[in-house]
Amino acid sequence: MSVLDPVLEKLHWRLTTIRNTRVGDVMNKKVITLDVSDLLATAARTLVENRINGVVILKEGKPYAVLSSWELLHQSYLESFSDKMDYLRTPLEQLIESPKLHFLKPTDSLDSAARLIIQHGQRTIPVIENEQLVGVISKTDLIKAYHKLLIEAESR
Amino acid sequence: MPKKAAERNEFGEKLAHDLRVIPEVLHNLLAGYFRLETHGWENIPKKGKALIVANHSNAVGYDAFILGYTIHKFLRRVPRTMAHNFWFGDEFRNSFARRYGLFPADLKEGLNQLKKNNLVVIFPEGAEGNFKVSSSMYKLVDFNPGFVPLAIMQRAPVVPAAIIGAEESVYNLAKIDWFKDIIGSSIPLPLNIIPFPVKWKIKFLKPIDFGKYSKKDIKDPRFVKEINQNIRYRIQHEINKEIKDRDLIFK
Repeated sequence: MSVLDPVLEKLHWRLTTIRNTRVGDVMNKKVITLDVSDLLATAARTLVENRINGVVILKEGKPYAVLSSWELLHQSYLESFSDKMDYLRTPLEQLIESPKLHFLKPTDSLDSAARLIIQHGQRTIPVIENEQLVGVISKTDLIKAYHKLLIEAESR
Repeated sequence: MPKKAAERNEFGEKLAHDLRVIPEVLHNLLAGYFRLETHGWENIPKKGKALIVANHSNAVGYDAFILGYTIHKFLRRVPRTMAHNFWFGDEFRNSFARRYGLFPADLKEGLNQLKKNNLVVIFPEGAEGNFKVSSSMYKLVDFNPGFVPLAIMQRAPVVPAAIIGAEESVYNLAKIDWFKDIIGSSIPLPLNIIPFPVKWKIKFLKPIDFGKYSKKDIKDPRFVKEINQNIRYRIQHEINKEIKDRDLIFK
C-alpha cells in the first residue's frame, strides 16, 4: 500500500479537481455567433476561417440553435440535385428545421458537459446565464481541460 | 368500384386494374393491428408518374403489402410494385402476381409502367434486404442501382420512403444461402410468421427531381452510384432519427 500511496494520491487529486472544475472555468468566453438571417455563405466562411466545428446562432439576440459543420454538409449533400441550397441566397433560417438547443450554466460540472456531448451529439454547447450567452464549451475545450489537469498532476 | 374490362398487354397478359382482390378489410385489420401511422402524403404526386423507393425487411414481406394497400387507400392509386422474379416463374404465379400489381425486376417492364404514368414502388434492397438477419436490423444493405436509370430516363420524381416497425414485427434468425444457385434467392428462417404487434410508421420523404440530368449521365457508373447512395443515405438518416426518438417499439 505504501508504494502505491503517491499514485493513489495523484489519482485522487485529479478526480477531485475534475469534480471541482466548473464549466465557467473552462469555457471559451469569446463566442462566435451568427444571426438566423445570415446567409449560408457567411456560416460556411465563419466555420472554415475560424477552424471551428460549430457556431451558436442567435434569433432576436437570444441563443436559438447550434449549427455544426456536419449539419451544413448534410443539408448541402441532400440538396445536391436541386438549387435550393444556394449559398448566396439562402438564409440560415431555412436550413434549421427543428432547432435543438442544449445548454449549460457556468456553475455546471465538466461531467455534465461530457454527458451532454455524448448523449445528444452536440459538440458545441453554449453556456447561458440569466438568458444571456456568456460563453461556449466545445469538445476540444473539454479535451484541453482534461489534458491540462493531466500535466498538472504529473508535475505535482 | 365498378369493374373494368381486363386490359391486356402485348404478351396477352391481364394487367392489374385495382388491388381489390383481397378485401380491404384485411388491410384495415393489419393496419389497426400495427397502429399504422403515415406521414408525408403531400410528397407523392396525385397524378402522373413517380417512383417510390422504400426499405425492405422482415422476411415475410408485410411491408410491401401494407405499403401498397396504404397508397391505394389514401391516394386511390394502384401502385405497381417491382417484385422478385420468383413470382413470375410459371403461368399460375405470373397471373397471380400481376393481379396484385406486381411486375418482374426488369428495366423494360419498369420503363413501361412509368410510361403509363403509374406509381411504381421499388425496394432496391431486394431479397438481400428482405431476408437480412434481425441482428443487423435497420442497417440498410446496399441498394441495387437499377432504379436510378429508370427515374432519369422517364423523368420521374423519386419519393424515398422509410418504413419503421417492420423489422421488429417478424424476426429473422438466419439467411440460408445453400440453394441460391438453384432458386435464385436465399431462404429466410423467420422466428414467427404471425407478426408481433409493433407500432408501424411509414414516412414519405420529399420528392427528388432529376430534371436537370439526362440519359448521357447514366453512362457514368460513378454518377449512378452516387445518386443511389444519396437516396440510401436519406432513408437511413430518417430511420436513425425515428429510432432514436421512439422509446418503446410497441407504443
